[in-house]
Amino acid sequence: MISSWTKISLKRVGTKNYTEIRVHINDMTYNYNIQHLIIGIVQFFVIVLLSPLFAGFIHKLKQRARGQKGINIFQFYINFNKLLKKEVVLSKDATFISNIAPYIVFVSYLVILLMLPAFYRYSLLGISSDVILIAYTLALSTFFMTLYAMDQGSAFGGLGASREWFLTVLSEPSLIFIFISLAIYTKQGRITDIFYFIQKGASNAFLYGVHSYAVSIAIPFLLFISLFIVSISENARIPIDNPETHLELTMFHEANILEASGKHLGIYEYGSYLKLTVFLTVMSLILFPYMAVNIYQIPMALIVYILKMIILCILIAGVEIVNPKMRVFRVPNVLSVSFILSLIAMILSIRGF
Amino acid sequence: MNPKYNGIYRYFFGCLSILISALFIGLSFYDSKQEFIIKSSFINFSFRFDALSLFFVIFISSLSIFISIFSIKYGDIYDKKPSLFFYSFFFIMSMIILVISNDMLTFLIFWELMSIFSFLLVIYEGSEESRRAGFLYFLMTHIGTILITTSFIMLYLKTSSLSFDYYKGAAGIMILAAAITGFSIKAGIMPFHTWLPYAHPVAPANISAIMSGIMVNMAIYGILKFLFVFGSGSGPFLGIILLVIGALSALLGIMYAMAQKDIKKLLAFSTIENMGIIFMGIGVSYWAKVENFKSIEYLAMLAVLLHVVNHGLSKSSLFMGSGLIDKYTHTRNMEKLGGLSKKMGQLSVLFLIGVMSISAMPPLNGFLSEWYLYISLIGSVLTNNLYMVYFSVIAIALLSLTGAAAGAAFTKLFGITFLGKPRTENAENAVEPHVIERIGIAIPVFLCIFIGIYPYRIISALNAVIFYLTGGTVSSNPFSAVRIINARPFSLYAPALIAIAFAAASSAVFLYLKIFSSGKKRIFETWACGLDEKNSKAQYSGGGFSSSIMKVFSSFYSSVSEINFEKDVKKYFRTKSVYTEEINDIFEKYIYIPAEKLYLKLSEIFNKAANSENINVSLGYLFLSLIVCFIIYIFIIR
Repeated sequence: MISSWTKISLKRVGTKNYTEIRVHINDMTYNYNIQHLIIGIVQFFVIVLLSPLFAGFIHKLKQRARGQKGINIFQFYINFNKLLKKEVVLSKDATFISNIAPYIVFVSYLVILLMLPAFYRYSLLGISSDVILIAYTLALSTFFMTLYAMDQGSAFGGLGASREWFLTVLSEPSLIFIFISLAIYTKQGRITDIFYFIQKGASNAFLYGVHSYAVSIAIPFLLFISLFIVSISENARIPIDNPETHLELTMFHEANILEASGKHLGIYEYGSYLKLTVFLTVMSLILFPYMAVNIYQIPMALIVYILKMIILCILIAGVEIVNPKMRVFRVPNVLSVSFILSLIAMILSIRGF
Repeated sequence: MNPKYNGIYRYFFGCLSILISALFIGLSFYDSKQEFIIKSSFINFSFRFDALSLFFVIFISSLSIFISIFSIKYGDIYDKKPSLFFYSFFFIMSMIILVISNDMLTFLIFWELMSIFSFLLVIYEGSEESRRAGFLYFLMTHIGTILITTSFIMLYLKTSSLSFDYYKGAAGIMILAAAITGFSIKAGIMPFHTWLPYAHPVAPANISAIMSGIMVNMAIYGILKFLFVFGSGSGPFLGIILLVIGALSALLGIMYAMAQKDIKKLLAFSTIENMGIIFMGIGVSYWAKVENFKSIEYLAMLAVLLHVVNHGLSKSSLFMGSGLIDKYTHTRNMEKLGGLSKKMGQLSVLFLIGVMSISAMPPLNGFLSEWYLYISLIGSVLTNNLYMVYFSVIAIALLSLTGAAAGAAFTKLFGITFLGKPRTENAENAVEPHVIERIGIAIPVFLCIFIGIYPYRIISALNAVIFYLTGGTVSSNPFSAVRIINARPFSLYAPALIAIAFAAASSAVFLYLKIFSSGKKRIFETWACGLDEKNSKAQYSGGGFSSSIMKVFSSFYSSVSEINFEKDVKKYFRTKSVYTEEINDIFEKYIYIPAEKLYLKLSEIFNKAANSENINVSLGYLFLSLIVCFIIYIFIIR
């Protein structure tokens, strides 16, 4: 039982028994029980249901900053519901890819969300939440989305697919570097363990003054900036992409799903909110890892999670408001900055700063 | 020969290669540790089944069974010249016997037979292009053979024995370096890869499948044998060199693959990429062996062996698929294809799974071996070894870039070839391939899915090979406790669990949409800005797809592009303009062609000097060579 373990360890932390703390941090065994599974499922549904809200909040902020009245925050739920009611218009050149790709894209984000811890330390698939797996599952979604784009034989789709891979090729190394430097820094492989480890280290350091090596300011800071750049590029946000227009000069993500309609468009849109939530959640955990380890901490952890997400949404909206859309071939410069930052973080984490 | 028997000939040799391969698989289940020798008057052939050769025998035999099933039907377009099946039978046989040979002469003889039969198959079609490719292949592969023979001779001088039994732990760094260079020419590793993208595409598709899925792995067999069985376990830098060369080869291979428009050429470059990934694993494993990091050694070895299997399965199925595209549309140029998915429905599903597997998409097997490689690289970072830390960080960066670029390259391959509208009449007239051909592709594709979802069986089987090579095994369930040096249970990836999660989530989403959404569907035209565009050339082209990535990584390529148009006509009134782009290999441009020019120049100078008209000069040469012989006799031989 993990919850009792933590209590014991906190007592021992109080008496400043250093060796015992080490033992506790190192003990990352997974003993599943029905409570973890249930809260894992609840956590998953909470994130999935909240994700259009975050996207809508960013959208609202942007519109208000431009002086528009702005949409309802819950507009994206309404849109999704409306799209489900509409008929699907398939191109006559479409093949089986058009029928399966929306599901696979959506499901791969769902699987990633099943692995991510957001406010509870154990996620449902936490036992198999390897960081490289997460990065490659994101690539799987890109793969199918671009195949969908090329399926209808539209020139826009090909353009979108080409540009999407262009971005992915440039941002994938920094994404994997971010994840691997976290893994090396904490010597953990699962994403749930990584953030729990950082959380324990930080709480020991700040609450009890016990300095373990899992406390660093530099590495999370660098990783946060790096991941911020990557998530702006991966989530089709303004300096790199502008999803609100249908102008071919600005299209990245939108060109891929241009032919989608009805429920296909609905789950593509929902999928993009989920992807945004995946990135924001990882960022929120890097920013301030606070996850509940037992059932009593969950309300607090949930509030902290939503607060963190709101802060990040404001940050993203701020970046979108301030910056103009940039030229396509200036994007590599920005993404190489992100790569360099994650490389520095990797070097720091190898040396254990 | 009477041409009406050509079909029978094809069936005979196809079934023969299936049967003999099956026989060898059956033979390998016997626990025969004993060496058996065929004695003849002047040479003894000796063979032995050890764990490594057992693995390769099963690998070669089963893949060649699939390919033979495929080629029994596919081969009917080559009936006018039936030597194909004769050669390919002996090609397969020479490879199987190569891996069980237990002395150096047998090994070299069958290595040479393998090279010669594959050469004959490369030049099989007899076109100018295939003869050029064949010559290049012949030249390069014999340079490799020379180096391998040199290393064997050095081993012979050291141990004064021909048998492999005496070579254990005998090979020093020089021998290993010579052997690795020789073998990497066969594997198509980056500086020596020039023959591969020419030789693989010109051969018939079943031969390309054998060459790319099986033959290049013979080089891996040789390297594993040399490094882990014959090697004396010295020189950690050798492992680092292998790692770096492998990483560069993987990256450049996939970058060149992205630039191709010939399907088979793209696949050939992807072979270079995958060989690079395998080399990375070998490098990490050898380095860990020398530096005595046991768990990394086992893990990297598992990555190597698993990637050999995965690459063999998916690459051979993709080459077979490309052969079918060629057979039913008469072109391999993807700019002339498109929309094949409607005509070749089942083939496109098989091809899609092969493509997903080779570009390492998660629930499939390609991801599994790459994941192991990542884990062993992370493990070698965690060792805090002074040099390896830097090189493995670089390798992780290059590997991740390779992974993303592989996704791009294979999206291009599948998207341009199978999706969209047909670009030419040939593509429009495609039909579904024959059922036997589809079965030949379906078996390896099914195995790809099976290994990806349920790999525990094959991993426990590979543990025997890992034990033979390294003296240890990865733990019985490597997914639950991958222990790396000073790290705790490190990484977890449960393929079956992830597959179940995918299945459950997709069925849940499907059910949800079935209940809560309208099932109405309408078939309509693709939106083209309201224009009535009927021209299928207006789709995105393959060249356009990869151009933005190629522009960023332009330093890897040397490309020449030109636009031809009517000069005297004003800009908007030209009837046509022709755009040609040629992507050249930088190694070819900056190393091979200058070397060729230098060689020709030197030989011309030598020719002029040697064939002198003047008798005094000739006498002088005679005298000089006498002195040189004398010096050699006194100082070296005596």
